[in-house]
Amino acid sequence: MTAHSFLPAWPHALNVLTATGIILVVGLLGAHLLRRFLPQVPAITGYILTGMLIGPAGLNLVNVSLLDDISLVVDLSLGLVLFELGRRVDYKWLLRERGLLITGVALSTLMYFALLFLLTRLGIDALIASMVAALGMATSPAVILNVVREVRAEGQVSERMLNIVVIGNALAFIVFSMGLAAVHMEYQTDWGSYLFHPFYLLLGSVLLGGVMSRLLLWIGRWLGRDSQTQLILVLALIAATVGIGAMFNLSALIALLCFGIASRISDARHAIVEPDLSPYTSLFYVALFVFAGANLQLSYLLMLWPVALAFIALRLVIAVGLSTGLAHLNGITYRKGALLGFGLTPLSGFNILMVQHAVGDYPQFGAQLSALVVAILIILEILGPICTRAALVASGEAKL
Amino acid sequence: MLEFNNSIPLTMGVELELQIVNRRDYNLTRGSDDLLRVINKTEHDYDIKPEITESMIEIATSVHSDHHAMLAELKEMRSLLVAAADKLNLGLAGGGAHPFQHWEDQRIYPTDRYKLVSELYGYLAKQFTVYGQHIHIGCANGDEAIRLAHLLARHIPHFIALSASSPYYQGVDTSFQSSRLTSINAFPLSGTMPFVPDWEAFNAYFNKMAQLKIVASMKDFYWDIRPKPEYGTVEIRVCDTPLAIETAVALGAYAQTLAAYFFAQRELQPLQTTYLTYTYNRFQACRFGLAGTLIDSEGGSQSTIQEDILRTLNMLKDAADDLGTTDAIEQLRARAASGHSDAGWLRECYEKSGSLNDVVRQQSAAWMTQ
Repeated sequence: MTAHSFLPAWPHALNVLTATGIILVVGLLGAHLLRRFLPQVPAITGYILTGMLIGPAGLNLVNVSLLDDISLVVDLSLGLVLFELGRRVDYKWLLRERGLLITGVALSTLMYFALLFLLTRLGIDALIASMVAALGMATSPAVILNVVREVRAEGQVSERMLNIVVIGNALAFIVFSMGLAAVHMEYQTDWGSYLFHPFYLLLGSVLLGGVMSRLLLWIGRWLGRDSQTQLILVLALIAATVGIGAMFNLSALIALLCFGIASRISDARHAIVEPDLSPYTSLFYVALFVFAGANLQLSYLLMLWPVALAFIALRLVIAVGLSTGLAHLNGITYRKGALLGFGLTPLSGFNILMVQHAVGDYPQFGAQLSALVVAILIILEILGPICTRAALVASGEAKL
Repeated sequence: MLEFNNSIPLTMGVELELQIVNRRDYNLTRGSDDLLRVINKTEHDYDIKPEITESMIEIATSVHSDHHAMLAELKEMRSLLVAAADKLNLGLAGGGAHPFQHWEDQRIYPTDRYKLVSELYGYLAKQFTVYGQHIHIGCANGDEAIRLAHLLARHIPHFIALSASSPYYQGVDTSFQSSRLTSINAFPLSGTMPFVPDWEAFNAYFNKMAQLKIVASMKDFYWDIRPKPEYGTVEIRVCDTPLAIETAVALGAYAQTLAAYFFAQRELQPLQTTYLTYTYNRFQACRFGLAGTLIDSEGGSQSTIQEDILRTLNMLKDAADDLGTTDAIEQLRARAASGHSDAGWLRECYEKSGSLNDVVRQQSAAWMTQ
């Protein structure tokens, strides 16, 4: 033992908290810089571009292993987003307002089949095409929630957009899980695996969300309606859900979406005061989107850009076309209908996590799938938030 | 010269400003535009229009002589509004002020007049996100309107105490029963009409103010009671929007009955001394509601507002019988005698639930599901 053994060995890599801190600071700086030149661009786009710059595809300040290390922080951030989205869904409204439900389901269904048709015509393997088409139904909840909050949008376009996002994500998850069964079959694992895995994933995640919602209500009722106390409780249960999801190989995101929805449905006595998570989510959003940017790899885009562009164009046409066509059913003008569809452009960036997680057992299949998803995401992560912001501003619902 | 459009005496109309809230945390939300769009898709002749901020909507009844018909009309309007609000997942609520909204969040409805008001009054315009009931009583001519306005001034605390429903404002218990009127005090042209004897004198006053470029129209006066020459009415503007339309109609019937009494008792003359105690009594009504003190400027006697209301209702017995408003008068008598008020109900809700969000939820449920 030397005299200075209390001095640490020179660290060979950043630890998780340091990396998170750096990502946050760099993200803030990047967004601030972008805002200076392009004030109309949402902060998210700034975070993503910063992420691309410092990530493995750019300067490699944050390398792949570090990204793995901070994935827990990212899961937690996403968990917050999905929970918040779940709380935003009013199932009573969806049951009452059939026009909205029909719009959400029709949009997703049409999107899936059209994208599937397009991708198979472009020579993509049917199974991969089906899974990518499924992911195409999922508009990014994080982007929509963040932009809605950033521009303080209120009104029918914003509310309907959020509900359609939930419907799209839920359907995407179901179809994707079913696709997973087909993957198991294709690679000839035992039959139990291809039957059981999607069910386990789907039902397990929903069940986890339901249990957490019960816990929230029980403990929340007991604690009383003090909003600070309840907020801590909510955060604690969100963290626990993310953790349990990871432990049991479930989808923490679907669990949290269900947690959010169920905690509102079963709260007949209105024991839970609507938690204001915004101070926390705004912190996590920075980490989330810098991380998302860092994960994007331009090389895939160079290879697959024609398919990616065709996918994006078709997706946009369907979203705008259908929501314009169904505008009257939703009690809004054609113009607002079109803006609603346009605002749905952002694709859920965390699809890529779902892909990596789900098909990790089949590296070859997973690589093909993620290459295509990443190629599409690069474009939509940068342009998507800009579209949503423009739609909300043009609809008059943003308060700038 | 302002033209007073003579109307049939004792006809009446009521305007109600309503809160538009979301159904998630029950904060105010911008919704008047979306709501009007859906409402106007069905054929109707109702007068439903936007107000100064986008989280307000105003409904006005047509001209009635019978308050039962007025209630029937309001119920139909409510069904129409509730259906539209359900479609859009919005909540509608009575109450004089939203308990926890923040005025800086409010958005001015984009019309030229409201933009102008907003520019002129700055933050006052957004603080003006309060919700009132206006009652119009038809008058035979301008002179009658001036006389009625002065005679009603004595009874203004009654209307404040009976309608008070804004105990919470900006997230705190104001300790007032009606905090709403306080935000109106801030406007330079609020208060009361000057003590003029007749329509000609009123016109002279108005012309002088117009020459001085202080006002351009009657709309610029934010008085508690004002003549409304376009309609040929006197307008009482002190009421908070009650939590239930039945209360709003009863208050309309009360004003109508008082007017009938004053029109019949020709010997009653307006007294300038009424205005000596006016602001004191008004404050007492806002602060303490029915329990407030009312000083009678003529005799100098003091009583609670509750006692004074009950006395007045006794005085109106015959007039109510003649006019057919007895049921409304009895309803108000029971309300006053019990000491209950909308403000009290809101405080009870808060006591039980501990959450202002939940108070608004109940407030909205009460308005929408009666």
